[in-house]
Amino acid sequence: MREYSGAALSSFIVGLSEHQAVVDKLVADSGVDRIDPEAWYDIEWAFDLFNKIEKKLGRAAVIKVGRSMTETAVYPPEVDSAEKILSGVGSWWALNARGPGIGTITCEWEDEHSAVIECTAYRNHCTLMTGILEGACMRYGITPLVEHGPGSCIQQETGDMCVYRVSW
Amino acid sequence: MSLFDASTRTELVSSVTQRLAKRRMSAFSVAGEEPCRVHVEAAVDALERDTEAGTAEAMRVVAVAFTNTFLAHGLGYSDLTFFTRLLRERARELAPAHQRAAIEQWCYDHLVVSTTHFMVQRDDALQREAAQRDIERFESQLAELRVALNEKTQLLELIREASTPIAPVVPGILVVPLVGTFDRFRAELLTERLLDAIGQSRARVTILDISGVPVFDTDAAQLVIRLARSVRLLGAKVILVGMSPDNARTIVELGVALDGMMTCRALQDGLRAALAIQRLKLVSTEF
Repeated sequence: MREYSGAALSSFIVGLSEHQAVVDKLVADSGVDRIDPEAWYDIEWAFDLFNKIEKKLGRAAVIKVGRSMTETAVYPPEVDSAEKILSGVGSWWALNARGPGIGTITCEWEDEHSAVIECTAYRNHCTLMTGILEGACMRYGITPLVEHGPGSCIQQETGDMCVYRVSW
Repeated sequence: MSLFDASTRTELVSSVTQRLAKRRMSAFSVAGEEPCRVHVEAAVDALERDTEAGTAEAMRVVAVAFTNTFLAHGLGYSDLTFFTRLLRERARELAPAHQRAAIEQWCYDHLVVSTTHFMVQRDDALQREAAQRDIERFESQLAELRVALNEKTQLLELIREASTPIAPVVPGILVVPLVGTFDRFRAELLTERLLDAIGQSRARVTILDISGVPVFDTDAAQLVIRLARSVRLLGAKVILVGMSPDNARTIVELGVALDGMMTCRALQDGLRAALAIQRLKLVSTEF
């Protein structure tokens, strides 16, 4: 069974504190009273919740949540730059999801200010992933340009991975 | 004199084209090598012409054409800067040293023009998306309003039907209690339903009880008279009951003639009169 961590889900929910009533209702409608940061949740259930929230609150709100997820996450002290956090975003995913076929996030640098991120995790959630990548850089005072590469997108069913180009 | 000799030019076009086409998940790799080659050749031509003429006219044309072509393949801003940076880097390497400043300026201008055009096109696309979302929102609101209107119309229809009941109390006798304002719409509805009911039940007497009509004015009286005429054409009689003293006074003051219409004070009186017309009477029986 594929699962998503309650801690990551909690930070997602905390990021939506401005819309607390709407989020509480959506979570309750999904059959859960409250998110337990110590628990693990069915990943399809979590992704379905992301979908509902995006549909209800719009793309901008989900990008903002993605940003806050990586801006506020706890990292080891050696992760002290945008470059290191982007390089380690795959490990961050591996800490927050478990089970067979959860997907991966890899980072490859084109130059010192441009990285290509290949993602098979967060399927159908390009908006959230864009926010996560923005947040990773903003944590270190960098406002990046995050572009979804053309030609392949899981959400649009034009490929089996999403590619993001992060540059600043 | 040309900026590049033939072999240098070929090398420049070839190396830039290959790097573009190999750029992963970019508008260039999506479009394929041939469009990349066409635009690199056009850019190098323009660079040579502009450098020779000391203008930037050819650059503007190729920058706009480049942006338009690759936007259709998902051009992003990082792709756009990659193209100009790559061209600048390779052209500077291969051109004579004294031309490097001119190449630098040309590439800078190319980046400015293509970025401006890119932003204009992106802004246009965003506006179209926003307009489309507005249309979808308005259509959704319109659909909701239509559903609400249908529900309201059905409810009103239900209320109208409930407000003009026709009760066949005794064979041949119909009782129609009118409750609420008796306006033209209700009169038309009642006429239609009553004539149908008379035809189906072969009723000979219809008792119109107006005790529930708050104001029985000229208009209401005229409507009742017209209704009675229609009923009489089917061979049935109309008995008007439930006339209040106030309504009776009003009708006299207004000079409305209720000729040819039997009036009774209460429903019981009207029913007794109707039974008499039918040559029937109520008798009590013991079981």
